[in-house]
Amino acid sequence: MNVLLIAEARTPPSRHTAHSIARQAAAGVTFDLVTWWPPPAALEAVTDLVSVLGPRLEATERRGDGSLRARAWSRLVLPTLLWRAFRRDRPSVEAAGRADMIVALDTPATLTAWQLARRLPTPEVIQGFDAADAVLTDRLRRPRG
Amino acid sequence: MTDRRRPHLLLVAWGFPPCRSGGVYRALATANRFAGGGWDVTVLTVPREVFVRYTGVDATLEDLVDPRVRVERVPFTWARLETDVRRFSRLRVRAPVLWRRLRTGLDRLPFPETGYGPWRAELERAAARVHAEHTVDLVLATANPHVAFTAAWALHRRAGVPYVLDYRDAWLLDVFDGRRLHGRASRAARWERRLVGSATEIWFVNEPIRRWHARLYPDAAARMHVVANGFDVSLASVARSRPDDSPLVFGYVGTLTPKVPLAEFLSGWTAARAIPSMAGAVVRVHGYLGFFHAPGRETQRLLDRAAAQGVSYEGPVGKLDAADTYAGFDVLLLLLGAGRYVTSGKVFEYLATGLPIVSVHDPGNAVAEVLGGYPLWFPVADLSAPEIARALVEAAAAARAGDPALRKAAVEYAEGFRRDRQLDPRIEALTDAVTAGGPDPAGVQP
Repeated sequence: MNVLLIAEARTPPSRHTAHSIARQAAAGVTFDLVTWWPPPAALEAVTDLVSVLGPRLEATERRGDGSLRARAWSRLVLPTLLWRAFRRDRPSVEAAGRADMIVALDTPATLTAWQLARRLPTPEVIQGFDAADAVLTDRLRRPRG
Repeated sequence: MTDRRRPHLLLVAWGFPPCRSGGVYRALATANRFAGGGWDVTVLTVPREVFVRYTGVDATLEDLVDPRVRVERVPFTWARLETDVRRFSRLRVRAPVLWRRLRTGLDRLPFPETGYGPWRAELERAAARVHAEHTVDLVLATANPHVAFTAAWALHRRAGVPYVLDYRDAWLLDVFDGRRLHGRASRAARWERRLVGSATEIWFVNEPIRRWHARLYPDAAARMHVVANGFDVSLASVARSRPDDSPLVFGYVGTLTPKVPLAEFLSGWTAARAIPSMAGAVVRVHGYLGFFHAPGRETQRLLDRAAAQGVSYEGPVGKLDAADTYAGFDVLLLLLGAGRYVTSGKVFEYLATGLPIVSVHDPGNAVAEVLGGYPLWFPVADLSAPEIARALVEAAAAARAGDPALRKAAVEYAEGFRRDRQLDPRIEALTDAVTAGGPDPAGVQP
């Protein structure tokens, strides 16, 4: 099972999400990761990082991060930037092509996942890792005939 | 009533195995008990995938469904919780906030219940189809969600089929603070008035909720019954034998929602653990952290912080594994939200164990009526840390003493709360009414 995770990664995933991804990785699921900002170490450790599409600035270097303006930008502008960068990035496109499941880890990544869903008929495309985790767990428990 | 030998029950329950939410056990037991009592049983519920994606599943529950029960999965779309991106509209992707507002309004058009309204049409069609294939003699609809009642209403209107409303909670009443949730002229109130007016029976889980509704609908009071949740006999466990000097294990099994006074309990636990007799004692928490897949962040934070105090989160426990889990405890912790109308299905399982129970909740909680006669009950007078610590220490002493006579008395007291003893009187009465072909006491709507 190959899962492509897409995230803006402005904030690190919750401990629960990081733990769930690590658990699935230990169970044999392989993860590719495409982000806008550099991903947190907890995610990088259990995934094969494919691409960081935005500027390689750590959270401490990003001016105004966490401000209302930054959050509005993340909500309104970044989804389109992320999608445009994704489709120009060959490793990301290839990762999407081999994915059995595509997961938008945060809201800004949903547009990219949705655009991929329109172009790729096969993979399941899911918003949020909790739902993906449930599907993966159920799939492992009840393999498709 | 036809001359067929076996009456046919249509049970409408949104939550049914493998759904892992609390109300499932009641629906499961009801289906099985009717099937065991000589009824053909058809259940209308949502597709399995809904539970996999949104609520979480307890796969062990599927094995507990009586094989004679026929389960019909009725399509259900939970738009706001939908995570399948392929089903997202352009509007939802581009303007999620606007989409959410519009969706909420649209959901409530068919039935005044956010998120569930659109299920009404599917349910009514499914009920009509089942009735056409195999005449339904009784509909039992269990809520919430209250949209389940619409299938009963539709069959009653079209074919005069009698129905039972089974309230696991309440619709117009906030069971936590006792206030009324919907005005008299609201759509919810008008719907409930109609439904109650024509119901053959109306079931509630405890007397305070029944009393509240009896006051609201005095004409229907005689048709209102308390059918407490009870415990399944197969799940009753025995206490483990433990060495005298081993540290005590306190256990919690259940869903930790934001209503549960977890922070208060942990303060009390920290205070209790400083007392020498509690040295080394631990708390094992089993269950889900909230109603949905995503765990409650605050709950998780509190549990993480309490790890240093011997508190461990052990994850969910399947229904079939519950007895083994209880057998590993010395004392049970009953943490509940405040409210004189609040009971918990869990309390009955707790009773069945015969173990000391520490109640950490508002003393006026309805559960006190159930636990009042239990000889190993250690309630708190308030939710202050010293008071919770006192109850914990007293329960620990009772666990260490392990008085066999007290334990026997506890188990005997619990016997009265077996689930079959709650359901059987009502099933017998309904069987008599249906098989005798007597008139529907509530009459048939024109």
